[in-house]
Amino acid sequence: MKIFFITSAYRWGGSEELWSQAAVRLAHEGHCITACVGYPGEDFAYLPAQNVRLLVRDQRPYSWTGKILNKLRGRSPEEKELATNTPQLVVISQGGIGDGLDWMSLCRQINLRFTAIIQCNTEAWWPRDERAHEMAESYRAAQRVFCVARHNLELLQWQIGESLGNAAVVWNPSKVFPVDQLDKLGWPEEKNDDWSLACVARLDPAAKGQDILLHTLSHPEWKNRKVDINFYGTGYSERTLRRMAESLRLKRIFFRGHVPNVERIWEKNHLLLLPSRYEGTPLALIEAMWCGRPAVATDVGGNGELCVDGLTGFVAAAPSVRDFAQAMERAWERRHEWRIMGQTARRHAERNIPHDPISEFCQHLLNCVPSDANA
Amino acid sequence: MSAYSWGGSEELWSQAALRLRSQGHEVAASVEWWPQPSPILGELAARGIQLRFRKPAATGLFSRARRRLLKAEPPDRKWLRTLNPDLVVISQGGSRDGLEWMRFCLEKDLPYVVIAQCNADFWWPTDDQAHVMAEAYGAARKVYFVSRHNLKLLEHQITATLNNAVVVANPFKVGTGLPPVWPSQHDRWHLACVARLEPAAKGQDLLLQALANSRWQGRPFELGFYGSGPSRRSLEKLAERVGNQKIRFHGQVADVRGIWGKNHLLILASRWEGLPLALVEAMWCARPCVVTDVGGNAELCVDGQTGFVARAASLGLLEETLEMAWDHRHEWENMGRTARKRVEEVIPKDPVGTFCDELLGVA
Repeated sequence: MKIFFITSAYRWGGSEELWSQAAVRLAHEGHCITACVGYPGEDFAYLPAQNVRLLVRDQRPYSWTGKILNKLRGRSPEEKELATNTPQLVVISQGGIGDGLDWMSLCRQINLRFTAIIQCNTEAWWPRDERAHEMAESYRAAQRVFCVARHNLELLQWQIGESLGNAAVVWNPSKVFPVDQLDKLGWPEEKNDDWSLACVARLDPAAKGQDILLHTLSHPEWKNRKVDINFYGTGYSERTLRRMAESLRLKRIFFRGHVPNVERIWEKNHLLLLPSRYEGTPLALIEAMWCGRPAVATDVGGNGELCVDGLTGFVAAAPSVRDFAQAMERAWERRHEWRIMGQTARRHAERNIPHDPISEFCQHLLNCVPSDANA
Repeated sequence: MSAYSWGGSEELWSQAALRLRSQGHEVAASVEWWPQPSPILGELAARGIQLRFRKPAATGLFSRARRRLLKAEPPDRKWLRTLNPDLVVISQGGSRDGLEWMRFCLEKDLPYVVIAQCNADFWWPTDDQAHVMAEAYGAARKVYFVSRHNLKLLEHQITATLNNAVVVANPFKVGTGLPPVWPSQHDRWHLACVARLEPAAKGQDLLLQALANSRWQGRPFELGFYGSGPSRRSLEKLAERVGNQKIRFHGQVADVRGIWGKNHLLILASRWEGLPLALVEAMWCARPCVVTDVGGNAELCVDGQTGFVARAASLGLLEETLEMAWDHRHEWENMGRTARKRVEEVIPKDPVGTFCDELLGVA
């Protein structure tokens, strides 16, 4: 089967795992796979060796020379490729709810079967009436619409004003497999009531709310507690966050950068902190649960669907300093139960999260194409 | 000024312009061009204020290429430079839409002040932007915010302390005379959401979902949405989906006192704010308010005394707060009177005069 994957992303993030791992899996199964990505570089360089044909979109569309060129030559090479190569399915992966809309319109125009992935949705992105209408038409025309949290899907239905019978909630693949190796992951040392907490997220406070966490830690009760706060991840706001920590006179705050091996993070940390303002279902939460760690998370996106308050972690009612501080306080009072809660989190992951989300997702994709079209 | 059409954010600078002109100052204004300009602009022109409309630069490829090749100074900037004013007032709907003008004034050594009508934590500058903003805000003679929250948030976002910042009040349109008479409540309670129909900012979606709760179905109330905006159709569809027959869309209503002659309670489920005029005006009209703790809302509305404050703009917290408000509905009239006293203490009766004095002190 010929399948064409498109991602709207302009930088690598957790959102790219689902489609790219599915592309590789399907290529291994013998399908003819093309991946169309928005930027060149290392991130996607492994794909050709995995039998995935890589198309890098023109880098110049936003410069005026690029626009002149595009104007002169009409459709872009990728658009022409789609029109002439006629894949049996186009998979459009989006970081949000509208960034792949132009691709969906193109598929509708040239009559190609397509599915859409929505990796995140938030109340702060409310489409205007005209755009809501266009979204409703495109999502209705999709074979399937995949969201990563029930919250994200329900919100989308509110935003576009209709129910999507073709929608499904799917899981993003975690990077901590195989699971049996995780069993060797011990609980970090607990000496002298000294704890290590990890915030694993892109350094992007608008989305990930690291400012909420830093403000919570500036409350006097936290200043006297023996707690290391480790920020894992990179982003455009690292300097701002470092300076904020300084100006709040916080000690024991560490910026650890990107750590590719998630187990390394959880060897050293007891608890995950996720003060996000909006989310899909964060991989950081899924991975911490597989690694047997409890979490303090805000009730946004799929967090409250996955993290069970009081059992596998602590859910803050909203991404505000007051609510997050309350949840952190509840967590601190029960710190001697974190290990047990982590074990419960691990069992919860085993019961609720598929071990191989990619194979389920590939099956969803293959089911989109009727067998008589599968020539 | 730069604007998202004409909204509450445009009142402060435009009324100050009129007042200063009437005091004999020379005043000019550069405003974004809209197909249907606000009638207030006609008044500015009639009073002898020089107006310059900034048309969006031609977006055609070849005119852009030409501009790029000739590196010409944009005419609006040249205009400002030759005007050589004693003070430039840069009014922004948000916290960075006037940044390019600030940088221009800084570069050309023109004295400037900045108004930031709103700031939100859903937007955060990158490190590089933060640096540029700290420089541009720091160099302003004064920076005016409409709530302490907005100021503190910006200081965190750009990691700088703004010693030149002042919190000012926006002018309101309901007068300071006696509030409208408390409406009759014998058949039902009238609730009003007075806000642009834009759920991302104003949270009407939360309010509709909260009222979809079965508890509200049997209660004697009517909710009116007052305002227009880009999501009217979406909100009407939402109202249909929640199936509540007690919801009305009244559109834009010019007579705000008239709204409070018919309504008992203001509800604002905003996700971010400066300091909403709707709140200030409801309080001058002696009406209690349900608001979310965003922007300056909780600086003005005192929870349990002049209204009810939801800790954050989330469905659960709004539901709780609405429940609390409904339980206390027989105290609303009293709370409204307290609200009026509170607003009299906090908001100057003539915000435009206060602001003009500020500007003249700076220039």
